[in-house]
Amino acid sequence: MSLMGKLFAVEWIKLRRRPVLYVVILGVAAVVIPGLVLMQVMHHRRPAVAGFSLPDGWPMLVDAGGSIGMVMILVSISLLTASEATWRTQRQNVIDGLSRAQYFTAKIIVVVMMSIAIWLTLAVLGILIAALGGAGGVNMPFMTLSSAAAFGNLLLYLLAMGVTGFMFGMLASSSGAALGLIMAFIIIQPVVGAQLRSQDGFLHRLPSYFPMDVMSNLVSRMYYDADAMARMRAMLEKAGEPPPLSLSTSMIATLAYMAAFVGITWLVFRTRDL
Amino acid sequence: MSVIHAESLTKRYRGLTAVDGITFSVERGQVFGFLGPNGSGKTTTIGMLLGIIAPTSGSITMFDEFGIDRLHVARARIGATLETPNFYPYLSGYENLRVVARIKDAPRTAVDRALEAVGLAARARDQFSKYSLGMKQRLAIAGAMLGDPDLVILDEPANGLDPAGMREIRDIIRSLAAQDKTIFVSSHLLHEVEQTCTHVAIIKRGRILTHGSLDELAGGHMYAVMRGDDSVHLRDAAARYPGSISAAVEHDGAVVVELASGDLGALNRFLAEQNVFVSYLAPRRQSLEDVFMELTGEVPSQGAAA
Repeated sequence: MSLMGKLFAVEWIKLRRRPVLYVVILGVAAVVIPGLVLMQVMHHRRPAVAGFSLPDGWPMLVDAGGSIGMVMILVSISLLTASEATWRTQRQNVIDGLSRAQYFTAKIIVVVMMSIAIWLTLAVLGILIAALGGAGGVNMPFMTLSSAAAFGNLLLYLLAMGVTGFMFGMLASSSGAALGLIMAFIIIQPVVGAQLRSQDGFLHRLPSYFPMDVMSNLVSRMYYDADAMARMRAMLEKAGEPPPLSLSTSMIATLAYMAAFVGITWLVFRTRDL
Repeated sequence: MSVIHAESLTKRYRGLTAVDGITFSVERGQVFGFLGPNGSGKTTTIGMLLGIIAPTSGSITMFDEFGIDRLHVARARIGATLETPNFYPYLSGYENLRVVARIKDAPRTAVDRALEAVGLAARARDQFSKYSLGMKQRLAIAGAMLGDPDLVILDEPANGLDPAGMREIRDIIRSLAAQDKTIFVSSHLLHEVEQTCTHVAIIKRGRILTHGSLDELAGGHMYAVMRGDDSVHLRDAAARYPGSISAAVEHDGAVVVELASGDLGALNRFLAEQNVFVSYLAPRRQSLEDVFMELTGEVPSQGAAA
């Protein structure tokens, strides 16, 4: 078996028995299903109200899935990584023969597994509810270029949030500390951002490049709706504000943050006593 | 052939030297006891040997792999436990060993054999969190045995066990030794080390005070215990014996002479020539406990005998 196959197998034995895997999938479903079903019910009662259908519904699914997905992936990944320090299984895995780099890679694989689990759950739910709802159903083409980009960016967003949770989970030595760091990470950015936006020039624009801001652009419905984006640009221009970051800039910044978070975590983990 | 060679190994934390320039070797086939009080630096030393604690200075050679950067290569030939048994509490004993087996590229059948060897086959499907401490320790040893390692490192394997549990661990260690494996076992329980080990290093406050074979350490000094009509006269006469290192009268009137050699006949002849006659003369070997107390000034933890 290849090294990656071995690391996947090790993590799968651990993950398939963790309740957090199933809580995440059920949690995503529990949040997304009522909203989509309600749309279908409203459409049946008043056909003028738009129901949920594909491919038009993808950006909406991305928007909703991004919100619940962010919470689920941040919390689940931080718990999955920090608990290994609490139980000292991180240390034991290395004693048993994994190099530090291999252990680190195995945890990145968990980030990918959990992100894909959420992403696929959203895709399956969207297709099922669209197909069974009768509000236009699943039409061809199944995905437009724009909706494919939106759904692809949802996966990138989940991976980015997963890497953020991974960083805090690995840096903290307990699940509680990791969750505390995540809360601080989420709360501090808007507070600091609000302070900086009252400044001029570069400092005024800086909050747009904060991690949560650039990452959340990837799942914002506005970026996949040309009319909504045009309205937003006009509104910002009228207010004398700079235009929103482009989707490609947001993607590049997200990838840069992911690389930075992984790099920082590795630098700390590489030399830390386990 | 040295399986482990540590040279001037040191670990300092802020303001605290946990391990202070220790040097020792473990040869192939030895059952090496690392004996010391709690907090003496045993676990830190093992952590450095296993590459999970970075030494402040010094070097480690394991299986001819020199240097800290090569320890991950040597780890492929090592099975080890450190401090408490570290497993996933929500997984069964079997699944936990499956994780270890995957890491070590050991076949699934090896898991069954390891569980059988430590007597956990009947409880293999129970969750680890429901195991008793003794079962957890045995599972940790089973994990260390997976992959057929050449060196097994066990950190305080008898910690917290009742006498029956300690005996089980001793039996497992003896069975591993019988398979020609090198075993490095740390303990603060002198009785355990004395019963299972062939070689010992005594560590205190991060420094190795002595090391060698059990016979060398315990038999390094020979004593003669004597009784006579006049203890003081007997002691003075014994002190004049050329082979005598020291002589003292114990509280019960017995005279104890430390000898350079174990030839009690020569001592008896010397005393007779001095017209000093003894009513009782017997050898007394120094025990590991005596060595430990002499070196550390502490009464050792005996553990429970079983």
